[in-house]
Amino acid sequence: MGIIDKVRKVSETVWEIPVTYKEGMRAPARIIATEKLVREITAVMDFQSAASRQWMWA
Amino acid sequence: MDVGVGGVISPGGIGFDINCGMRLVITNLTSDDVRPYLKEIVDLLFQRVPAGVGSHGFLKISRQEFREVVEQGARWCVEHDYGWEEDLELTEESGCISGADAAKISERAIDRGYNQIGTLGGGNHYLEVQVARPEDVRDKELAAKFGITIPNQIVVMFHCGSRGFGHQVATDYLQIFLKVMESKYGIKVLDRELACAPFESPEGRDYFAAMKCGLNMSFANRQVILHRIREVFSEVFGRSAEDLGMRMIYDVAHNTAKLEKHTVDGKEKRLLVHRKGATRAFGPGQEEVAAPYRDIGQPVIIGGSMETGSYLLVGTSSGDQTFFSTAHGSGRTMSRTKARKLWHGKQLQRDLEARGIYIRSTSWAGLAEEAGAAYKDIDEVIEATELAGISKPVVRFTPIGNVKG
Amino acid sequence: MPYKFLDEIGIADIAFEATGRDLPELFTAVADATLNVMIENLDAIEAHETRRIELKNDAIDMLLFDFLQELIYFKDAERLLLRVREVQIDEKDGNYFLDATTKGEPLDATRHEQRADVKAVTLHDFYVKKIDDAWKASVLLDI
Repeated sequence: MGIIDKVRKVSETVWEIPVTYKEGMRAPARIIATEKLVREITAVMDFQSAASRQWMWA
Repeated sequence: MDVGVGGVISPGGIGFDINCGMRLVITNLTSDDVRPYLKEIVDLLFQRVPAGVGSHGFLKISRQEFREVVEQGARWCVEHDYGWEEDLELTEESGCISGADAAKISERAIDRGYNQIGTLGGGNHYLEVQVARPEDVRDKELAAKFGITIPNQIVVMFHCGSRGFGHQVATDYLQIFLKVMESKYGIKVLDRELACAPFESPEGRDYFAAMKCGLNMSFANRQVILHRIREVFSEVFGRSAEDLGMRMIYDVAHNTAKLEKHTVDGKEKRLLVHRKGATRAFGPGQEEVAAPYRDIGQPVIIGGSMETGSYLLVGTSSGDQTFFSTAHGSGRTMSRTKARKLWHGKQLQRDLEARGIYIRSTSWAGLAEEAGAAYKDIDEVIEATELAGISKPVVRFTPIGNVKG
Repeated sequence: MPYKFLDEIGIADIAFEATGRDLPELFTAVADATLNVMIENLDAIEAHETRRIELKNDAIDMLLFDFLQELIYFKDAERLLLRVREVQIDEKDGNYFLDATTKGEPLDATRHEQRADVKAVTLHDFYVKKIDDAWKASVLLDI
């Protein structure tokens, strides 16, 4: 299961990673992207282990 | 971060390359005018704007003068004849953010930076000669306000930051914050890269004043580079830069933290907005937008890969959903290490030349790492920001010449 | 090579892992890996100049962090590309002491094949640890 399965679609261009995704997250992270891009972005994130990047990317 | 209730400042949330940013300048030349001289122009730019590992610039100043530069930013450069007065009002923060304090800077940061004004650096930093093709002008009226009125008009765009100076400032304070974060302020983070301190603390305020020196160094760096670009075009065409219409459109900062007022849950709050790899994108009417653009929104310059294209956009009123922030580039989808296994720099340079893009680089490996296919599709990224309503495209530019760091 | 660049970790940055039988070997490998991010042909760097580096830190990983910072400092301040000739690391009263002799020369674009300019060492997943009989480090460099 990849990150994409945990992402909540807020609108056509807003995608949200919930705080339950990783320990240490204090707020949900939002990604502004088309569906094609959010799939690319989360595929890259799947390779990366740490939680910190998510809020930086949002 | 709400600074009124213990909100923090974090070097890792700003990035090591403080005020890595973009500057865009127009000309009154067309691609037909420039094509015959393209190689000459790019070769000269490659000589005059040093790129690569630890590169030093032509500006020879003392450490003391450098302290003035980091407090005065692009204003110092214009006062020393490296630019035009009007460049300043077309730069974010008028090229000189207030509150920069060189007393908060280490000697090591000065050592790393005082030789580097007017240099591009490496990685994803570049300087490009681009064309605004008529079919790529998305909003004619707005484009005209920026001076883009001629079919196939030539513009120059470049991306670079505060060089070793900013990197050292961020590193210095990352270490300071690590020492006090938990013991003094009881803040725990899972990743040390996100070390932080309360904004309203001695360490937090010191970093804010030091980071602003990084911002100013970067504005000064891009100001001197613009001066060199004007010199090169002027030499090649035997006309003055004024005569060539080489006016700046704008200079935007990435990798900053700024104190701004935003409305959260119906209440106005004073927030420290960290923008790492993001561009501020204020909408029309906001007082922070440079006066010439206040009625149309803040210009946003987003770079794509060296093979594809870049955009000029404006901020929108609906940008409040992202605290008036938008993308800063197309963003990589593939690691540098992987990209260099797939492409070879020399071959890439030949392929691009065949497609009408002339490139000079200090590094063949670095060139391969910047291959277009290692990046996300810039048009898709722009479409996302437009559909989400956080910025509005004005013109797409196509590269024809590139100096790569 | 006692270091390996990682394909999938740093996307905009460059990540590597290094190993050594002891701390001096590890520090030498990490220093070479960092220099190798900037210069492709390390063998072309001639030993014309010497810089001695002495450091103290109470944590071994931060000692390595400080050491890499020194090398990056010389790269910008003097354009010096430095390789480790000798390095000694001692532990005493809860502190680690490093004494290194590095040699190299200023960057010469005609002989040194450049790759990327290293801006900083990040602390993202940064570690130094002993696994069985070997020391291992993981580093992500900001490019």
